[in-house]
Amino acid sequence: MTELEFKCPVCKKPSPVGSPTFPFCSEPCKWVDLGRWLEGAYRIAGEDKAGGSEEGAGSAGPEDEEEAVD
Amino acid sequence: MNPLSDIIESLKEAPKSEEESPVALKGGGEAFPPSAPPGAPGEEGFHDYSPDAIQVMEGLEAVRKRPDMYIGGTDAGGLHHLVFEVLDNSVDEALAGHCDLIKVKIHDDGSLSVLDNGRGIPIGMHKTGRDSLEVVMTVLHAGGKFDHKAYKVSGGLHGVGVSVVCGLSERIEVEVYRDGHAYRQAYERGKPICPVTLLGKIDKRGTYVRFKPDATIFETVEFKYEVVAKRCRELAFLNKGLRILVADERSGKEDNFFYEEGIIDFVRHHNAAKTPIHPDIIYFNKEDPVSGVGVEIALQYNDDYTVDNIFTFANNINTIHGGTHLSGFKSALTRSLNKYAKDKKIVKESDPLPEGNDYLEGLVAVLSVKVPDPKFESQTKVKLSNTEVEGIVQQIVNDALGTHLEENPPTAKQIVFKAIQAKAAREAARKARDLIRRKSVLASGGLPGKLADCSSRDPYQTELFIVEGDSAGGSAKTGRVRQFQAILPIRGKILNVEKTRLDKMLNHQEIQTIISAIGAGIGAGIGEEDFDIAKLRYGKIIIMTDADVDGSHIRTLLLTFFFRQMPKLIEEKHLFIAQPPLYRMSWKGKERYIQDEKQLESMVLEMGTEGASVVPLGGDGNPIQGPALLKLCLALGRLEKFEAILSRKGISLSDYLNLRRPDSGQLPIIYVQMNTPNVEVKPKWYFYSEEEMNEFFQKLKEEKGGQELAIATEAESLERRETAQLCIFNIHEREMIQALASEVAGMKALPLLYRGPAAPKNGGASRAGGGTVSAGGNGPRPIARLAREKSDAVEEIHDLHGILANVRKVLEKADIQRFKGLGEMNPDQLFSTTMNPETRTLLEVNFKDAIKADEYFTILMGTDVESRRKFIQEHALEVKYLDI
Repeated sequence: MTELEFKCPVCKKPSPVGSPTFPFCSEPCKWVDLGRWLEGAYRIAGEDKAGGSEEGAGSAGPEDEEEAVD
Repeated sequence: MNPLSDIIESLKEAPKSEEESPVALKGGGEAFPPSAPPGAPGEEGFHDYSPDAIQVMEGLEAVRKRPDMYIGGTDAGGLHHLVFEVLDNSVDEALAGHCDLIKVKIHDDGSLSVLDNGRGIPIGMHKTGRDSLEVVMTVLHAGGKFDHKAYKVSGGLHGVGVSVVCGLSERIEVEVYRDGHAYRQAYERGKPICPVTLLGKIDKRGTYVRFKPDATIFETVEFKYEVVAKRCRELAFLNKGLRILVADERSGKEDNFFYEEGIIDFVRHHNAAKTPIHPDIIYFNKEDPVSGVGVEIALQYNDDYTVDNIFTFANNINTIHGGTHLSGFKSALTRSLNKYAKDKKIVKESDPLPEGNDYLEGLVAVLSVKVPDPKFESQTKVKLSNTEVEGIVQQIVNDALGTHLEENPPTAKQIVFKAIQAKAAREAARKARDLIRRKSVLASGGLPGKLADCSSRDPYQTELFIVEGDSAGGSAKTGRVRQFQAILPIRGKILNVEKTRLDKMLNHQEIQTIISAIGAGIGAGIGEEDFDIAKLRYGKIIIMTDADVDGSHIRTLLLTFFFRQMPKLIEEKHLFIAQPPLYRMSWKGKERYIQDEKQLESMVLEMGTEGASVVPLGGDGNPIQGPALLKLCLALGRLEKFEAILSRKGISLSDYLNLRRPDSGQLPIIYVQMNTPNVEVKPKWYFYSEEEMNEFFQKLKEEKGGQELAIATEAESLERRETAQLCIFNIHEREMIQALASEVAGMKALPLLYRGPAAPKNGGASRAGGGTVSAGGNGPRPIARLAREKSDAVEEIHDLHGILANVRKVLEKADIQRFKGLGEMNPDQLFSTTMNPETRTLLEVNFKDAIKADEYFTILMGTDVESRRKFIQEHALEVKYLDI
């Protein structure tokens, strides 16, 4: 492992590689992370539909709350 | 239940007959009458401190017969209980304000002594005919009626008194320094072996007790320094201003415990190695005027998660199992902090407030109560049970803590924030537990509905494909080998955020489904319900996503999830990424799937050389065709890449190849460039070996009359290189270019002319760059002719790159399509390109990759639009085609 300075994804405190809770610094942080996954708190932000370019086409588009993949 | 001070009180008041006045001693060594024989043990006068009763309050024999009843056992715990008993008597003196120094020493001979500078046990003839010292030492005062005047100065309530120590000691010596005199008496196994003796004058006061525990009673008679020191430190903390010196003659260890601020120091000491989340230590010390119960509390939160750092004491006794004082404190703590959180709107009205346990994480607190009539739940006195104490503590904490929070808003907010975090963690844990429970239900009933499981249960053989999209999932399900390949389609939910962005996430069902399908649980690997790699249902977990941005996002989500929550999966090499083809090529009615750019290149050359033949003009007319031509083109294609690399260094590949030594095939490995100002093309010297370069420098030096030039190597900074007169560069690509050049030169009839004069100089590696070559006319002489089967057209080739360019023309006729998704393949195609173990390529995920994915993830999911945009710009390629 080269990343000796890994930081806990939740609290950002140093998290030593090889600890039983790695990559978290502690068990509570691991739970917090799992909770966030389950809550759907982790979202990868899509690309911004920048400014006006897209607007012309669907200005009166439907109020789609959610879109399905595929 | 009588502390020494209590006894002292009773002794002062009880004696009423004429003999009671202390005997004035005139000289050393004068003996008192020997003690009376032990009277009949009686319980009658037990609750009554009348002088008559004292006569029957004997019975150290009972203590010796059933020591467990008095000190909890005859193990190490019981042994040290003796020390605490003696110590408590001294601490009582301190509490009463008469003592500020206690010295504890463990001696070489296995005995232990406690010396204080208190008032000293009263000396004088008691109406029993014995000295009051002897009564204190040999009469058992167990159980408890208290003189209510006594409690205020009473802390030590271990309950049995020093007489128990006397009864359980092989030998005990007591010295009293009082009223300018020193007295002494010794006992063996609870019985005095001499009368109280006046030793002589002394100008100090106090009590000295040295005892050696009875080895016939205790399982061990070895005092532990750490145990003794720990209690001494505790007592020093609890009694500010009291100095306790501890020493061990056996090891030379010693400590000096003194805490000016008492329990505040305790909290500070505890948090010394931690990071407190607020600077102030909250402290208050109040007494309930009605009951006389005293409550002293010091607390501070650190950024830890430990919950077991509340230290509770009742009358200096460490109540390790808490009791009513602790429950009162906890409920008031929660109430005060939640009241603050609500009043100041730190927690929204609609949101649930943190609960009791949330306020205990990271809390370091000392809670010390002084109770006039303490009751304990068990003999061992580890749990306070006075019911009235709960309400009193609650009241006092509510008032005092409430005030402190109001006056210190930053502190209050920090604590509430921490509890909110703790609550989130607890919620997560609860959810996780629910999940596990549901999982075990699933385990008995079946697997998630979406999972198309395989029939084999042999994890060495089985594979789980986590497939992006239902349609690709359907294809995979149809195309798979049912025996050992399982398919789990996931969608990766898309959220429309403010209509400007579509965010990707895994919803909780998908996460649950993944966890259930993998079957190894989740968690830190500590608890029994936690992740257990042995329960893994599949030997390979394979992530199969589209080769587009969405696919890379889902892959990043999955990788991050596995890395964080199931790192063992990666550590033990169970996680893989499928490599679906990137291109589909249709040519001459045939469809081909192409993995990547590299494969595309060789495919194009393969097709382009099919039926083509190159006739070098300088040779015997024999054509180069078939595999030989393909080999030549592959070599030229690789040279094209090096052309781009060299051009970045300012070297033309054609020029470089011209430097090839025909005999050895060697190419230069080093060049030296002169930094001549204002000259565009800087002079360069090429060298084929280090020795050649050294000779050059040698000569240069001679020419310059011994003057050395400033040089710089590649390793130097750009700045240094620019100011140096000569720069030395290595051509690291030499070996590879050399090999390729030799391959090309092997085609004897072809000159090693990579790009002819007509070709653009420093031409990049662009694939479309070939067009210029075949333009005939008055240009340079061609080096070869290229002909194709079933075609009359013959192309003139002017340089080596021209061959490549010509062969690539096939691309113009082929239909090459970049794949958008797995769904564009039919089941058979998907299987043969991506899933078939015989033909597919899998990438094994390693820890480094996973850490990288975590980093991307953190940035990609960030709400900071600016930094995300910047990151995507910087890592455009990696993000789009995150090749992990």
